[in-house]
Amino acid sequence: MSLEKRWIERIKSLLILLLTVSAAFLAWKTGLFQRLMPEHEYAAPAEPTPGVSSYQVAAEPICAAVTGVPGLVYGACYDDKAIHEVMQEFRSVLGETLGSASLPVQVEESAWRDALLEPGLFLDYGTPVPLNVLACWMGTTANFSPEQQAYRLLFALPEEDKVDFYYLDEQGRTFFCETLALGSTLYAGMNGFLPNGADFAMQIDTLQDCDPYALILRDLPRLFAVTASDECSSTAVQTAADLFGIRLNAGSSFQEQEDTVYLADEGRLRLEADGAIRYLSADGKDLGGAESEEDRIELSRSLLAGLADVCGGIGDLQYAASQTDENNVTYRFDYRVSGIQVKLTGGSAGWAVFRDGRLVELGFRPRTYQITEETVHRIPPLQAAAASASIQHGSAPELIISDPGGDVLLEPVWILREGRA
Amino acid sequence: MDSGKLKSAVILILLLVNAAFGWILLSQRKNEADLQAQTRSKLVKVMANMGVTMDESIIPRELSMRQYTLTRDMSLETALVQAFLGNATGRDMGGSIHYYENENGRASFRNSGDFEIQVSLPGSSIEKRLIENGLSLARDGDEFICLLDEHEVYNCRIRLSAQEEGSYRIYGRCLLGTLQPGKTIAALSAPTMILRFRDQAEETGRVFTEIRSIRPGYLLRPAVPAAELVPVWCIETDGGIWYADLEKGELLNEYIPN
Repeated sequence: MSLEKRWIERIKSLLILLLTVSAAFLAWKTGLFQRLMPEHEYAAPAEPTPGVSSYQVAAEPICAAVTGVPGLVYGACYDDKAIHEVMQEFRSVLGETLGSASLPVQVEESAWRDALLEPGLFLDYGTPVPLNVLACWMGTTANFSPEQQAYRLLFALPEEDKVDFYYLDEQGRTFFCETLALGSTLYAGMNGFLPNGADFAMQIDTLQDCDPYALILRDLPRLFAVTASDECSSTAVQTAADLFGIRLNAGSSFQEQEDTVYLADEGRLRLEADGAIRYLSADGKDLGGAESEEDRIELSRSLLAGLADVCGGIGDLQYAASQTDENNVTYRFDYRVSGIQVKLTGGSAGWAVFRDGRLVELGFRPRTYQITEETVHRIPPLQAAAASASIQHGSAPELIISDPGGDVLLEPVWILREGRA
Repeated sequence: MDSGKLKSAVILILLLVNAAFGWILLSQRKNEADLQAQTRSKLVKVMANMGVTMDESIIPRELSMRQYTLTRDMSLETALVQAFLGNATGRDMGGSIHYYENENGRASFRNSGDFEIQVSLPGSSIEKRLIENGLSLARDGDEFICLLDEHEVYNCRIRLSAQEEGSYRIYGRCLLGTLQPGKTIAALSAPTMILRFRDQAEETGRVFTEIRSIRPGYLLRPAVPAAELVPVWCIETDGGIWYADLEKGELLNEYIPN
């Protein structure tokens, strides 16, 4: 083959390569073959850093109010999505506020009352929550004493660029803290929450006998009936047994009255006749890192969440109360369904008892809640508030779901909540 | 058949394949352009019928943007402090507020990205020092706006305020931390986004009659443990500035009234 011919062959080969690449590129650009290609993978979000940020929120408020302009209130109650939006918007600045708060000083109730009417953010947890625990839920730490617990909180915006923090405790006492948080940061988030006709009871002439700081919505969100069942019981029992390393075989079990008890080295698992699952350990199980209250609540939340997860549905376990007796401290959790608290007839949905930082009891009532398409109508909050005040002075209405257990269809109902003012 | 002829045949086939794909691509592009032009002019008419005027040229083209998270990084904060104040001791004031002070001035940094530096310096050197410390900035009047992937981060602005005796207060919110890229998201088509925006804005009860501009960018959402940088459309109207989620077109809580 002559030199010239060899060159022609080489050019042809190169041309074939170029045309092949070009055809592939054009084919890709047309998008005709994109379905055959794998989807682009993206980097996973960063793992949360250990420490403070590992505390997860164990309870959202039952009501939240944003006052952008004095007297004009955006209120959210019985609506988990709306409350989540408020908390998502403000969680960071609330962390700054709680973390930088000065020592609380008890103030006259009138100071709280006046501040409530000014621009700010109001949160009602419906139960006392330790301020140190709240700070952890907001992603920071604080130096309050364990007794300092807030039932209702108010982050008020005075004229200067700062945030004044007030809280109301379970006895109805009002406290004030100065903070280093910036009022402008809190205020910036308020523009998105337009007034929706919500008011505090004290602002409504006809509700002067009601709990003055109860948030009264103009309209209820759309309510639905829910079904409840204990279909997940057996799975929850197995999960609890796995959690504590207990083997569910007949050889290690015995009957105690109507309950079945499984024994293990460190403790026992008791399956109660009413469906409750109870792990008991006389010496206490050391799960590590349960020295502080915030650690114990987080530990309780994570253990119970692991059990509740197997039940699925729309029920969400939330911190409900704590109780201290001689040596033990108990943390109780209740279900919430679409932002409405569920009161189980048998008692709490979940509880954890600690003694000297060791877990001595963990209890769980497995329930699966599912929403139905059946709409429920209830009297408006204003009427409910008037009715509750006429029955008991200083009370406020609260919408709850009462669950007697078993397979049932449930509807939210109004009940009386004792006032804290 | 000898290899020369075979190669010629392959080249001919490849030329035909290239021509076919080229033709498909060109017709796709032309159809898309025609369709988009039609949709855009129809959209302007539809919006006009709804009482909202807008120029066809402001309707955005197709777009994809990457999501990010921003984790606070104390070393970057101390580097910025070093650049402005020199060696300064830091103090934790609680609530993740860090405060630095020395004879040259003082500075504070917060989880939300808010910061403040008070220092005696020539004003002309401030922008240089900020940029040298990894901040990507663009001037917007008397302020600087933070940039990410060349898009504006609308709620991250740095302001300068001259104080007494040649000292400056540098304050605002900035992207000082470790950026972690997330997934790339495609923007909702512009006509759908604009119609959805109009419906959602109407539900809020706020009034506007003209859309002046629609620009892509980011909003910083402070969160724990890492802040999120949410790709958004910034929609400027005669009634105020709105932000809509780029992917779904949902209105976000941030709103700046006129």
